[in-house]
Amino acid sequence: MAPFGKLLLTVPAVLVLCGASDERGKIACSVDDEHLNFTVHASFSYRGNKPLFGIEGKLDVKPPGVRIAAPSLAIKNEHLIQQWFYDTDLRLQFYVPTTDGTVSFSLMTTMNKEGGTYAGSYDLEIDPAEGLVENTYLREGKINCKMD
Amino acid sequence: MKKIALFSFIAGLVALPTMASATGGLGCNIDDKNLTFVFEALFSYSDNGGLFQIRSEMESKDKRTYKTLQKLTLDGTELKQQWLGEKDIKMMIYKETEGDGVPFASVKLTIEVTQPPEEDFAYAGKYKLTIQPAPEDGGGDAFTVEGKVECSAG
Repeated sequence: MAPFGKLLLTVPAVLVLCGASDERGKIACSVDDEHLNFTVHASFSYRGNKPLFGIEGKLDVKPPGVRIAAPSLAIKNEHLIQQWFYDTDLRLQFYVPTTDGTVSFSLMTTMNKEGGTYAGSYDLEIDPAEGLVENTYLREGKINCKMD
Repeated sequence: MKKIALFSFIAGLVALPTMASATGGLGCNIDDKNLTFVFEALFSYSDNGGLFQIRSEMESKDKRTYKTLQKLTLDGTELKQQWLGEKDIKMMIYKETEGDGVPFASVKLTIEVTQPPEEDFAYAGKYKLTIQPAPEDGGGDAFTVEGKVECSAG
């Protein structure tokens, strides 16, 4: 790991050692490719002992034939069903039920050597509700995140 | 014997008739010089939730662990982060002291296991147990001990 990366990981440890107040940071992730436009930002505790909070995001699926998640799907705290934000990993999974089906969006990223930014991949799965003629919509691509 | 008991537990969970198609079981065990840890939970295959019906016991063998944190029965509220991936499982369990006049102390257990290619249910990896002692137990810096952990999921 790059020295700066180690420094970033040391900050939470120092705060824990000091029994410090619950210092907060922010993360933001985004994608804008041929499949979708996705943005999310959230707050976290440097103690690393609680889920992300203050989550606000949106997902727009670009192909016009995919009506679930169109024109825009809001992402909120209650949609975060899995999280691994530890060491050099940042992984999040959002699950959004809609009247037309369900949307699962997972991102798996790793901290870059310089620290503070993450790069990796996403998986999108849209499952239509029973009775709808649409097929399951699967897409994957690249995603970037940053931590402030 | 512990492995047999674990597999029996998981088999029992999977065999529940009303849940057979949608849920699986996860179990993890550690028993070494640092820690005794038993973890059992259910998970959904339908992507709409994490672990549930968590039952776990954890005993830190390090004397510097604060007395109320040495032996814990966990109900899931202590599971602060989790990741159940296709080939890996990650969990973070955290507990700190509570109450007025009680010194700050904490334990944090992180487990990261992967599934070997030839295995269907078994996972293996490492754990890290970070202990923040209370001042009366020597205080000072938090420290981390590490070891191996085995889990089964399916």
